[in-house]
Amino acid sequence: MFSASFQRLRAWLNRRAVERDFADELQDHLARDIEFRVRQGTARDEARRAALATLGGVGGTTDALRDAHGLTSMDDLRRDLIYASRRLRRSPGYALLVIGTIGLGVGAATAVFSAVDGVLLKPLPFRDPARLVTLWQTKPSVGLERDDVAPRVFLDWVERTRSYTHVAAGNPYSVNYRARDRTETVEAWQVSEGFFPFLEARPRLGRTLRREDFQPGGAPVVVVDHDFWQAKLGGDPAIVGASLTLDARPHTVVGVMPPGFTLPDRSALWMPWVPDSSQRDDRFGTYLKVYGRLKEDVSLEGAQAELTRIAAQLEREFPRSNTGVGARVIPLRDVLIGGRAALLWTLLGASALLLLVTVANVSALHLTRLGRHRREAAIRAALGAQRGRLARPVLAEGLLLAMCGGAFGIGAGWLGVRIIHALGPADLPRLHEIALDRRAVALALVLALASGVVLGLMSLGRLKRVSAESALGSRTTTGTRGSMRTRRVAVGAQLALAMVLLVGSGLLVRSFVAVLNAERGYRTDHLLSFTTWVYGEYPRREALQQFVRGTIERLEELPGVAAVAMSSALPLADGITGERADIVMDGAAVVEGEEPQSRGVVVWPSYFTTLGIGLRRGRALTAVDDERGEGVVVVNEAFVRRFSPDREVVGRMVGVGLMSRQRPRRVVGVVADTRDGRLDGPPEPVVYIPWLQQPLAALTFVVRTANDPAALMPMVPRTMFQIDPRVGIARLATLEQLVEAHVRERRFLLLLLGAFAASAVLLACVGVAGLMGQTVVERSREIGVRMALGATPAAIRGELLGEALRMAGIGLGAGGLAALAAAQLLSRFLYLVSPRDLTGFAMAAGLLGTLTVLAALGPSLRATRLDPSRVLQEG
Amino acid sequence: MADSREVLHGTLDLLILSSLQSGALHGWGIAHLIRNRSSEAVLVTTGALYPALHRLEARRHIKARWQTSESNRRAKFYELTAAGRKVLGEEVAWWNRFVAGVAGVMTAAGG
Repeated sequence: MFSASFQRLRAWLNRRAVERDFADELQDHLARDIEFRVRQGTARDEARRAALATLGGVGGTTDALRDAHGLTSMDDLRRDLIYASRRLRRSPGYALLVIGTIGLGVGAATAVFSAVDGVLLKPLPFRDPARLVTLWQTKPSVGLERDDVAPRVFLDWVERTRSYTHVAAGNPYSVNYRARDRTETVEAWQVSEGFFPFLEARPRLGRTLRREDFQPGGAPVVVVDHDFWQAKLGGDPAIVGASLTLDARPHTVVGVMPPGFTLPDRSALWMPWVPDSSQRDDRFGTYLKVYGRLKEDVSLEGAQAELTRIAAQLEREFPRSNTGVGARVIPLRDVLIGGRAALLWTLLGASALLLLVTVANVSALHLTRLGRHRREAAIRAALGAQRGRLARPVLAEGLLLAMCGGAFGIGAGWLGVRIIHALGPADLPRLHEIALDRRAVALALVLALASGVVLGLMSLGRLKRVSAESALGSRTTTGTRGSMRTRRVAVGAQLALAMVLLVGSGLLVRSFVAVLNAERGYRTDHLLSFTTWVYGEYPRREALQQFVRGTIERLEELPGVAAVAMSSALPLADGITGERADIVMDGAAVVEGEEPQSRGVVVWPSYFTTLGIGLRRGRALTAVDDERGEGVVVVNEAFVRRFSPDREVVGRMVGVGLMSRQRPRRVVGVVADTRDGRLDGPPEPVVYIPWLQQPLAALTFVVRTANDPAALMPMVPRTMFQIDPRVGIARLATLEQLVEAHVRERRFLLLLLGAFAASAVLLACVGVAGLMGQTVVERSREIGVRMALGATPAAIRGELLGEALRMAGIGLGAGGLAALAAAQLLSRFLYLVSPRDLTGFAMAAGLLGTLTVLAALGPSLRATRLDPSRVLQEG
Repeated sequence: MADSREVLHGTLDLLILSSLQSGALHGWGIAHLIRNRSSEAVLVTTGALYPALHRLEARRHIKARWQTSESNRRAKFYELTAAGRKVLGEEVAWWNRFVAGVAGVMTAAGG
């Protein structure tokens, strides 16, 4: 078999030489025949004519030779494809349906694969990324499994570890970048000397940081991110050497990084981290992100063992700070991708299901088509055609459809990637690097060819059983019992797969609605917020207070502004959802360093009314709660449940340590719970502290407007610039936008899965309708006989519908079981909906059952409108 | 059937292999030999002969070599391979049984 194909291929590759051999051989034959006839006494002309006649025309014989060598099959392929396209043009409905279906399945799979490939499979854009790790401190006693690292601990690690070529630290920092008419606060990481060497990253322009940049008192320099360079500096190619005003000091740009240079936390600027002596000795303040590049011969386990050993040493040497403090090594890739893997694998699974539906659908369509082809094939088989010859047109047709489907699929995949770009969660790592690349196109072609092969194998399987007498003798025009069974299985499988997708997206829809309707505890409409950090600008407390008061007054004067508030944290605002506060209720005995914690938010009195957070008991904070008044706090209901479930909390004293030593404060009121960090989790305990009593430098202003808050957005930077050009603003957004960002992942998954489910349901309906139509055609004779014998149309209809429902029942039952397993996989995306939620299953089954009946109704009605006499005559 | 003298289906390979028993021959030679030995009862058309030859060659039952004739024509000569000889033996045995069987039927029918 193999050697025969090989010979054939070799013959085809050498076809010129082979053809010359044919010609020579026949020429020789001709010459000998003529000589022979002349010797026998025939005139040369006459001999020549006779010889040519017996040769049967040189052309015919050469053709036969070509066939013997398999050359024709290659030449014929082209002809077969042309013939197939002509045949398909005669049934454009079938062709478009198959191409569209294959394209849909292939396109969805290709687009999702592109995303999985771009985010999960492709290596990070650094040299030898598998050796890059992140290092963390842990403190299991307070539930910290992954904490940032204190500067002194980092420096100890640098000295004591031997597993890494480089250990580097980054201090997530922000600076005020002053442009012409606005000052913006931008992410600017302070990085240690090992940072750029650790990544082995090359700059796009200029250089990265050098040893001399880390000398205390050196000239301030900065390396710029590609996006920042493009967006804020106009992509100026001569930027290296230019000066940027950062925190009111000129900094010289020394380099620009290439696009895609990103770590788990994105930064716009990188500056040298030059810790002073107090920072160098700090073992308590955990704020550094620490990275390492493993040496070639060191495994992750080895590095972890070493770091654990060092943590134990530090525990012994510095019991005051390091007791209970461990250390962890985690691959950079795992940190970067985080929880996104589940999202992408879910989508990949869903697209695979859709692909299976499309294959089942195309198979069912193709079987009908084959049924039609069968009769023609049977006649040709009876006339002596070889099986290969019979199969070729069908194979060519399948191939042509698959190729067109693949091309369409690539187009659909390209569109799908656009959709993923537009809707994907913004924090999906490397979202914008997702592209339909060569690998994805190759996958699309492979999938399309695979469906072509499935169609081809089905054709061969069917034709194998073509026997002249059965097909010619049988009265049916299409198919046989066996092909009907296969079709029923294919359609049943589609229903089952559609059920899985439908149940899954149903659960997601209900979770999505639950999240959107979750009692947030604050309003999000007509609200706008932004954040400023004033670290050095107002060192004196009175001046800072003056600035905050002044800013609130200026914002209140803006047109359309109804109310203004300020707090240290804002619900849903990523990264500014508040600090941890140590909580000690009066009289409670607590080990120092192991105090229970609550979120602590420092607020301006107008905070609760501006955000619409309801007061439950006691009083809210007011302007009298300043540095001269008694220390007070307001807590939320979750705080009461956690810390004072049995005693009235209002009036109790509580020790609150928020970024400072504990200070006793009196609880004066209880406000409603708010879902701050996540919309899909339970409310956390929060303690609200008057800003006037504990001013923090992180100021988030909230503005309530009478009209569209987005309209106010352009005015904010200019107003703030007028108030104080040194103060930068960041994270300017409406609260609706913040909600939007929070539900984005959910909606993304929901939309894609919903689209897959809708496609699967549609295809399954097409499958049911096609199958029932087929059944009616197959059984028209039987139906005709029974109607002639007095069966009522209703009985016939009922029987046909019953048949469809039986098939649907089996398909939906199987699908239900599969959906149960699939829903379990989805459970991490579900909120307030159980993965075993029966309503969802019942609704999906009901919908698919109803659609099955509707799809079967048309063909059933057609069956009972058959004219018995005509059917019987035709039969 | 256009011509009753056309080779019976399935026997062409047998005829070709037998005609090569005495040594190498070119295509025309094989056709000529079959025609002569059968006293013109069996005619092999070129359209059947050459594809059969190439098929047998592909199956390695016969092998071919090219020679240049006196008038500078290239001529292709075929000869039996060891495998071909073996197949020939089997085919001859089958043919003999077949002929005997057909003859038996004929006799019984009184033909």
